Amino acid sequence: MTGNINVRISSSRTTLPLAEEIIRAISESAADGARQAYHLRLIMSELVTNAYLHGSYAYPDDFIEFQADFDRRKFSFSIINTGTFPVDMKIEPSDFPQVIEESGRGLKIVCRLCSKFEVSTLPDNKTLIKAEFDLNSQSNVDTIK
Amino acid sequence: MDIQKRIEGDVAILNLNGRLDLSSAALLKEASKETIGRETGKMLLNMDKVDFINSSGLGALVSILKEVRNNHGTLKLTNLAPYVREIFDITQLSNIFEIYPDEKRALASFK
Repeated sequence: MTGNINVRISSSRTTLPLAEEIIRAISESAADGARQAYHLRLIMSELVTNAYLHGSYAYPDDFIEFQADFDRRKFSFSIINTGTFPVDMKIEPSDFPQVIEESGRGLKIVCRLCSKFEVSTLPDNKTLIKAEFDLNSQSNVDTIK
Repeated sequence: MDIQKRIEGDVAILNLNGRLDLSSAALLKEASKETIGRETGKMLLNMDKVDFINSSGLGALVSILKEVRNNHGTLKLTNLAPYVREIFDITQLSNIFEIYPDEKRALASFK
């Protein structure tokens, strides 16, 4: 299966359930098996949720744009949002927050699951996040202990 | 997310149905808060029908756990789907939650 899906959706928090349904459908189309589908869904869900959290409060009339591009080998996901993001943030796969903390896990889960993760600031000051997932491995998480 | 509450002995059981994410986290926290205030402090979350959880859902569960502990209660989880359980392991949350494979064993552990 190959696919290229582009989504542009209001960053109002009320559209998040719709975005989650789109994400679920994409993950089921791209993945080879239920476990891989879950991991793809989780990667996209974390990044989209992050965009809503950082975009919808300050910019409810703005849009979140995300793109999923996949073939049998690789799944690529990118998302542009208005929220700011520390582009020089270093995330170590094992660097989870204190387990009793309520937040701070999302992007670390993404880094744990992805083979590649990049953040950059666009000329209009929006944030572009790119993530890649190797579809040939059952899961990148298998190789990270 | 749909949340059904029932009582078994002195344990309040919340049956969760649906995905546990940012949209449903507040609903679960609210339902748990009502239970924590009214019941014996023994709470079991049956996640048999939770087909997806992300970090917002995990954060809600940690928040509930803290609330329960502050009220000298006990929170346990049961019936986690394999992929949901895997996320608990990845984030090391399986070290702080008491997780049981089925409801019968979870209820027995409260005694």
